[in-house]
Amino acid sequence: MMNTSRGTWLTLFEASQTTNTILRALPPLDAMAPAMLQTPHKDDLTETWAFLEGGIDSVMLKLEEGVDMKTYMALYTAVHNFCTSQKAVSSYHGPQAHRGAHLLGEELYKLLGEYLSRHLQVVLQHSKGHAEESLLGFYIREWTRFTTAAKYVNHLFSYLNRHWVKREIDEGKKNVYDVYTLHLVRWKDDFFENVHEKVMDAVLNLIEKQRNGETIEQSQIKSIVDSFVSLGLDENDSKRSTLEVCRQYFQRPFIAATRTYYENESRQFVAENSVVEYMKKAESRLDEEKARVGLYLHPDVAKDLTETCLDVLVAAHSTLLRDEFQVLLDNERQEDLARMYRLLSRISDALEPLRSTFESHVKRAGLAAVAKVASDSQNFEPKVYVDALLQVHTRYQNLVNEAFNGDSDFVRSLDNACREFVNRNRVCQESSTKSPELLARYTDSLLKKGSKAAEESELEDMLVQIMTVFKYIEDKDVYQKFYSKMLAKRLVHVSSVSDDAETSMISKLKEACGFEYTNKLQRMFQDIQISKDLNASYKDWQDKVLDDDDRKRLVDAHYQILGTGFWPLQAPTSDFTAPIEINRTAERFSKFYFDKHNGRKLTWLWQLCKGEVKANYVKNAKVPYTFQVSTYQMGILLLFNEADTLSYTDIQAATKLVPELLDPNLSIFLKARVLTISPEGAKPDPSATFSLNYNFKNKKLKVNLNIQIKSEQKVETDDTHKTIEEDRKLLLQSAIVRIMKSRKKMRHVQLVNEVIQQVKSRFPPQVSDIKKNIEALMEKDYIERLDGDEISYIA
Amino acid sequence: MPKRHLNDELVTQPPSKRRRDLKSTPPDRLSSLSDELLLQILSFLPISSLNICQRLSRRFHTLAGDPELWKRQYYVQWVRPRARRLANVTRSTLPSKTSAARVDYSPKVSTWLDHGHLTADGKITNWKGQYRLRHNWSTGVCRVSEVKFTESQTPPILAQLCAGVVFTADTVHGLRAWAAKDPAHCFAEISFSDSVETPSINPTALAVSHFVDEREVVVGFDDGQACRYLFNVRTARLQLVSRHTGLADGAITAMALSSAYLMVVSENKNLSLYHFQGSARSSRSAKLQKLTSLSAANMVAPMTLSMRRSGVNIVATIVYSFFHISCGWSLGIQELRFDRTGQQVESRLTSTVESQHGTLSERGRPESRNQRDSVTLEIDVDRIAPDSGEPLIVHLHPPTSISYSHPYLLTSHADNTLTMYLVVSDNQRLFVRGGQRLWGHTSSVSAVQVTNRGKAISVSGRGDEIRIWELEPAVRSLGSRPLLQDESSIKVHPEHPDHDEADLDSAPTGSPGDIPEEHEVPDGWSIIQGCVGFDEERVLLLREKAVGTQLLECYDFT
Amino acid sequence: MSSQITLTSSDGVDISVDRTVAERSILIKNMLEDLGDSGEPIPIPNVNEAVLKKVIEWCEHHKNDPVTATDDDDNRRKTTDIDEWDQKFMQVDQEMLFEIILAANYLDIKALLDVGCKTVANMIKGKSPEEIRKTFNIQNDFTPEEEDQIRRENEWAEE
Repeated sequence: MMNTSRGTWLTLFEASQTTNTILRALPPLDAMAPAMLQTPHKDDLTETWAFLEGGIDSVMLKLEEGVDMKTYMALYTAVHNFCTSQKAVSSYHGPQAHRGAHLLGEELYKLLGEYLSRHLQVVLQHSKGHAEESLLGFYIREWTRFTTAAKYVNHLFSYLNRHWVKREIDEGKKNVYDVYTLHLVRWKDDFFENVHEKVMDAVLNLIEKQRNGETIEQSQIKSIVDSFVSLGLDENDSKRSTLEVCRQYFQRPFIAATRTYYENESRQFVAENSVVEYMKKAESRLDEEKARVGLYLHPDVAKDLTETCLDVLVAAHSTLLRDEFQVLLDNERQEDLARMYRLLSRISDALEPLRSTFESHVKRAGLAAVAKVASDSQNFEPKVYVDALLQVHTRYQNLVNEAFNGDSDFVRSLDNACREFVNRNRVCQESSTKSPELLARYTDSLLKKGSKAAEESELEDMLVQIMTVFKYIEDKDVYQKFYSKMLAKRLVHVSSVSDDAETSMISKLKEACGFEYTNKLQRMFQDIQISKDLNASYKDWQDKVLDDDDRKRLVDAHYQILGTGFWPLQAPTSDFTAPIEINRTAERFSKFYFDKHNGRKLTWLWQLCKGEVKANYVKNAKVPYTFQVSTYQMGILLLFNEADTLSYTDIQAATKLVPELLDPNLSIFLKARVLTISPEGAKPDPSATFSLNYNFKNKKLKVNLNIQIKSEQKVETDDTHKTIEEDRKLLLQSAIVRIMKSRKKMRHVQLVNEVIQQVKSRFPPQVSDIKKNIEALMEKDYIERLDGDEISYIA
Repeated sequence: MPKRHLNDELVTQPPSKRRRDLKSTPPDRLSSLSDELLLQILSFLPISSLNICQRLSRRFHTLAGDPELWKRQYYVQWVRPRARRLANVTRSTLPSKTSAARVDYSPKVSTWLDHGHLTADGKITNWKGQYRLRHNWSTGVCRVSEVKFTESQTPPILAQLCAGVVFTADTVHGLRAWAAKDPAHCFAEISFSDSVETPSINPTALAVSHFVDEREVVVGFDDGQACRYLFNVRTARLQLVSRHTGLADGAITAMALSSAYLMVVSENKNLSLYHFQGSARSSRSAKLQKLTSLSAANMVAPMTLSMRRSGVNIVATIVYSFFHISCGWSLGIQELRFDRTGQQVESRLTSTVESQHGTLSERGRPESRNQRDSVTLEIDVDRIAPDSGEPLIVHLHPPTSISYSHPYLLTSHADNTLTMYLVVSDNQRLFVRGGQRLWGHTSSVSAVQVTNRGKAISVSGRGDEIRIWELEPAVRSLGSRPLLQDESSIKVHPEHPDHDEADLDSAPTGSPGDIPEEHEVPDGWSIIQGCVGFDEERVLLLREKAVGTQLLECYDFT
Repeated sequence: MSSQITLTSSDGVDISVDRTVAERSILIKNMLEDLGDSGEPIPIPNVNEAVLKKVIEWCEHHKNDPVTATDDDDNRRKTTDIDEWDQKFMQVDQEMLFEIILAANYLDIKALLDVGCKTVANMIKGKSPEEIRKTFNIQNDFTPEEEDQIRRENEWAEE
């Protein structure tokens, strides 16, 4: 049963203008109460509204007491009846008019709006008695009451919504909303606009307290945020909401307060603490603010909040932070470096300066390491050099991974720095190809028998490390040259540590540089395998063909057949008449070989052959000495089977060796005291004579006389460098021809660029070299110059 | 409505008669319903019934003419079919897109395609009137009125329609502005003798561009100078703003104008592009800065110029005809792009030759050549020529007119047809897609005009046949099938002004079948200047009588 | 959940009905949502017993229909076709027909309102003005001149 009448309520409104009792005022029971159920006369606006106002009041002010069904239905019916009352509006405007239908309800809508404004005036008055947290409580209470009532009133006025309001909106009228939205609009305009600053001040104070470490009631702020969000109405579509109100009235002051708070805090903190400490503080504040969004803010603010915090906490101090970077690098403070990276990576463009600092730092470290190696000793081992490079690389690669999160830009900086100090360090000053050469020598030292890396797995690791350095080498062709020479030697002299290690290295190079790069290396390897099979079948053949006499004089020999094009070897530089014993054996093999492979040509590489001779002549030797000698040396020594003393010219005539080879070999014999010279103390020259030393003595039974001649080694290195120049020329020319063949016509500049693209994986070409080679090809009529800058291919 | 009693129990008990006072006659229960309920009932009726209901009583006249009711009818009849079509296109090209474009009715006109202009804040649109306007366009029904310029004019009078205002220029009267709604009414006129240095010169070209309350007009003369005028719509004032001499090396034969850019072609086939320096439109001190000029060795009329904005750039386009060895008369399209500062961004060239061969529509990747440095207007037939094969479209005679409003490009021909191309122009490329003959005319077509919304008007040589084309459906069928004769164009059926209202009673309009022979064109009349222009409500044509009298015709569709 | 509720017609008759059936009326649905079901009879002040029963009959028959989206106007309006049951249901005298329309509008039962309006629309369609006037007893308040002018203006859209 409804127990109000409008008379009483009007009084309440008068009273509420001056007192703050609206919330507790209860109207007295009224004798006229039963009249309430009588729905008002539908044509009478005053009567209808008075009736409605009474009902709305009870919903708005004391919903907790409940509304009964009769009242509810009566109120709905009153609205319905009024809107369908067909009031005599003159709706005919002559045949030309196009005004259309006239729906009723505007008056009710207006009166409802005015009622809400009055109600909110009272609430506003009331709010003045509250401040800070009490105001928040008041706001939330009133908001909850108001929106709950709004939902009821919206239903009670649903007939108005369905027809009059819908029609107004369809016609495109602005500022007409459904009844629920009207409540929100009024709240915003009549109440919210007047209190939002105070409310926000209270909210911000609360948040500041929390930032200062106090405990606060977070749910209050959450309720406020929710209310602000609800007030965001889309002007164009009342069914949708926007975050505009929340952004303007909550987020903007909140962000501003946040900015001020952290500006002050960080300024003070930086003044009193170290940068390292500050970074810790900033990081924890950023985490804290991120958590705050999840606890009671709208997710929409997250982005702005984070940006503001980053701006104030990081960007504002980024110079300070960056200045500390070098110090941290110098002291290898990995954890702090990581923190700095995390902070600066979150603001734009802040890492670039770090990267360049890092790059030059690594470069300096690399150069210093190399300089130390170079100054420690004049003739350092290649291993020392490579180890120095690797150590620097490893240290900073770890740093990039651990502290910089493997950031690809830092990886690039590391690569740039490494490329710099690998190719342009103090050792490379004399020749830019020194790095690849040393790396190749180091590789050789690992792969040659007798290297210290005994364990196979250890060796594999070292090969991987070599590849790390190899990646940075610019003159990869130089490495290839040296590597293939050394491989050739390892293969010819059977001095490889293992086939597996050789294969592994070749496949690594292939992976890095492609098939072409390792093609020859692989062919060399194959030749050795084929030669093994060949020697086996040669043995079988020998067993069948040789007679007993031959067998007695048989020299136990092993042969290697090396394809001319694949091996970095030269035919002998000197004539040589092999001793008869060797010659016979060699000819027999040649016969066997030509039977198998008709039409091939064999050239004996005497300079690479070696053997052992037994010295049966030495006095006082119970077991005869064995000399390990080169074929040349064998040729000289075997001459002494016929005579004890031979003149220089005799030896030369018999062996046909050129003095450049003859003299040093004789010197070796003299030094080892296998031979003696007369006159005593002379150098080998045409006037000297040599005698066999019957009193030869040595600690070992096996004496190695096959020592590489110094000058030979030097010549070899020079040769390698010379062939590199030659090869580069060929590489450039073939690239040019290849490009022109496919393009037919091209501009000069374009051609040069294309060539650089094609060969830069092998070595960094000079533009002048490319131009020179283009000219050379023009002379050879491969290409011709057209009008302008164009070059054309001549088919 | 006969009373039907059923076996239903409820019906046998008569409901209580509490709502209505009973009179001796049975009550009018229908009229006693409130407006919203009657609207609800009327919303289920077709427009023919609505028109009948308007005749029932004053109340029904108001309700059955209700704008919201007609707005919905308008949407269903004119907007939704197009929205559906576009939605289907979108769906077929983007099959993964789940949320297809919404085609349900929405009372928000701003969400309709291209209808935002029909609503203004606080104004109630006469939707019934709008419906009727569309209806008339779709059936070709209109009223015709004419304005005569009796003096003999040489050279012929120039005329342009721009957003409700018709501008004419001739030696005797100078520049005049007319109301398109009522072409007998001259808003303002300004004589050339005041504005030009040598009064004896004749206007030879006219270009207009549109601002909110103003129209900018540029008149070109036969001595190569041009004058710029502003017409204020509210005050109906026409004023000279600036005068520029020496814009061309001879008579200006064609011009195009768009927001501070002016393109000028001279009788010597030289084309120049100018930029008005200075911010204010009305600034008298505006200087013309020459951006570029091109010269064409063998450009043949007709040609057309067009300027438009594309993002931040201004795009100036020249479309010209040339003879191609394998497919006859073709169109070349040269496009110049300028950035906001007037710097030329690029220049590119394409032609309709590939389209005419039908080789392009599928591939879609044409050869458009960038020629950043070139400043000659090239018509290099051999280079444009694609691989051979019989062309699908061959024109043995040059087109009678060309109209280009991006992306639509139309030509009219003496062989009773129009040809439509679609120009594709983006940052990467410029090419012509599809080429399609449009049939419908029964005599030589002398002029065509197209808008960028895909509506076109074409006029026959004698002016006795005007057709309205909706090109959007035609574009859809590009390359798939030829359009049937009647589906793409509507013949205009003007009600001659002399016909009295009495005639209308016996001659229901709207269905083309039983239209009486309409609007006899007197002998000796012929279209020369063709179509002046058209807008939402009307078409304007310029005719010339054999003896030289000129006449502006207005076809009003409201 | 098919609890019974009681509706009281304007003439004081209590009618018991399934809650789900009654909630086809948005008015009743909203009210129950706001106030909860107290078990008290719900007064329906604007609908008498005969009409209310008729409306409930309709709601019973349609209780399993999907609740259409609020603004599905287009599909509703596409046709004035009415399904067979509804057609039969609407075969009542004009007074009852309009009472049903009024009740459906009052109780906010959109689908029923549509059926009612369609029924009336079908009574208008295809008739001349005079026939329509006769059907509904509509008073012609035009002067002959006005009527003539309107007729001429609307000729363009006649079928």
